[in-house]
Amino acid sequence: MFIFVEMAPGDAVDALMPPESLSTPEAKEAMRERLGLNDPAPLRYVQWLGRAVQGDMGYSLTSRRPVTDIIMARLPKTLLLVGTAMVFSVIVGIVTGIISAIKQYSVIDYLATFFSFFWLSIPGFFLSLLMIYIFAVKLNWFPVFGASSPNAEHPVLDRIHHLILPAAVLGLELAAALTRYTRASLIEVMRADYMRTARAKGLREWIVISSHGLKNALIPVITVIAFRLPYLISGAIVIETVFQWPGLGLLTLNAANQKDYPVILALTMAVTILVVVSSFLADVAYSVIDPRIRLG
Amino acid sequence: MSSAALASIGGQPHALEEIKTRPGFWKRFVRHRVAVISLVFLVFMGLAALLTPLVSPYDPYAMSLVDANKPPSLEHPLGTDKLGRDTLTRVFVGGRVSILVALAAVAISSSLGTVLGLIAGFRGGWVDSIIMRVTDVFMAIPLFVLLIVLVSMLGSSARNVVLIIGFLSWMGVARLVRGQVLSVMNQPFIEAAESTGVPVGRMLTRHVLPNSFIPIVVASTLGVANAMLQEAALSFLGLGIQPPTPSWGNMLNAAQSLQVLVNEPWVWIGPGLAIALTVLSINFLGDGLRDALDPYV
Repeated sequence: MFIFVEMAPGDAVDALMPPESLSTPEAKEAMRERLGLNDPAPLRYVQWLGRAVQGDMGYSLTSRRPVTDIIMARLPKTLLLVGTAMVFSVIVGIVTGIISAIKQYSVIDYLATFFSFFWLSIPGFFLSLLMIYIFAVKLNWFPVFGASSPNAEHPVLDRIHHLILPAAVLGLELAAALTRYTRASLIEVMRADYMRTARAKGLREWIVISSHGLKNALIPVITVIAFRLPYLISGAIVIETVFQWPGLGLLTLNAANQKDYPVILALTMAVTILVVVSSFLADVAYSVIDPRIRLG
Repeated sequence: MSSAALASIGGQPHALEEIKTRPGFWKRFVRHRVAVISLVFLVFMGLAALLTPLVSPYDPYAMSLVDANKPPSLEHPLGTDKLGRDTLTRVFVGGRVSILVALAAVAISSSLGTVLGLIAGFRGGWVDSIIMRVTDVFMAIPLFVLLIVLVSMLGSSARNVVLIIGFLSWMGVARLVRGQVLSVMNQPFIEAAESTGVPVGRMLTRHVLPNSFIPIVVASTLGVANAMLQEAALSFLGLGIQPPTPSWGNMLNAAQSLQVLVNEPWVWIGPGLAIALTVLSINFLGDGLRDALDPYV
């Protein structure tokens, strides 16, 4: 676990090596000296890491504000977007997967399989544009972009209104992946001996499936959720850009364009921590759903 | 006895011939109707992209303000963009760029993954541990973040995009090959080869690698789809292939302006559909290949 956190800023420090563009050589040199960019890379890395664990990520090169403040201001918006997308995709994905598995080779199953391939193949930004075009421009059901309107009567409802489209687009890909894994896993479990035993005991079919089948089938699905989280965050970058959702993704893109290294470093680290924490939560979820696994 | 018959008795090992002539692969592949349709579509896209000058009377770069922003018509099936360039022609030329970038990136990532997987699986021990931990780390980081950062630092040329995508997506193949190597290493024919003193290099290329070939092909096919999506997303954000060279991603970049998005949907729906359908076809093709090639199903 520690290696994950250790590696991410290390990679970004390597990326610091190529020289920047802009302004005269002397001004650049003075600037570099002032920002401490002339110290050898390993030294800078250690200094940076030392400050980072105390919560001090330095200052943004462009806006001059503390990086921690910038990230903290944006983090909730991204968590909201990614969290909603995740809940959406878990519900939609698992339910579709279950139906698809129970009614294997039915029309519903074929449709679900086709659409899960489709959502996995369509690029997030194209889907976002289509959704905006259909639901926001043509049908006028949702706002085109942003995270809130300036003079909303109900701020919470307004936020939800802005959230639906981007969260749905972001969640569809994960939902598609989950559908396929839930289906495969449940079909596998349905063949197990204990399912026959449960049926032989005279239990009703839905009890057999829900308490015997699902409990076992969902274990690999949890792995997939944890494993797919980095993809979700990657997707958030693109989708935040299209919808102008002011979260970490939009910040990443701007920081990368402006070569704002402290922000980039901190972002890489924040995102990695997010992923590590989530995979820890997945481990906890394991031990809850499967008593055979103990947290060690 | 004729010499041909002699050769067939004394020469080829029997099993090899049987595998080659087994009436399997094509039959099983053709049974996968969706995969066949996908293959046809991909061949069509590939030909259109390669032979654009023969297919289309328009120059993808020639601007003509008289023809700017025309909706679809008989002369311009997908209309024209704000510089009066024919969208369909640009979709074909963009396809050439997108397909080549994806193929080149996968060539890098698959070779890298294969080599690392072979070393990890064959050497074992601490070499294996190190390679696999590095793989885990790469799999845990949201790669697109790294991709954006690296491309913005190193500059967005087609070559850089290929290299960066290639060097950031070898992990799947590495894991796959390692797993395959580990299972092959327990087979009796490896023991036989070892006992006859086959050198390590020959062992890897002649005995271990061919047995990992099928999963590598399938994973690479799916890898092309992913590389294509990544290139498209980068170009869409303005970080990948730079205009005026068209790529499917940067053609959609125009739709970030609300004016184009709302009033000129033909400019972005065409290239968008091209990416979606191509990636979908590649995914179906990969799935079909997996079913048709897997000898154990």
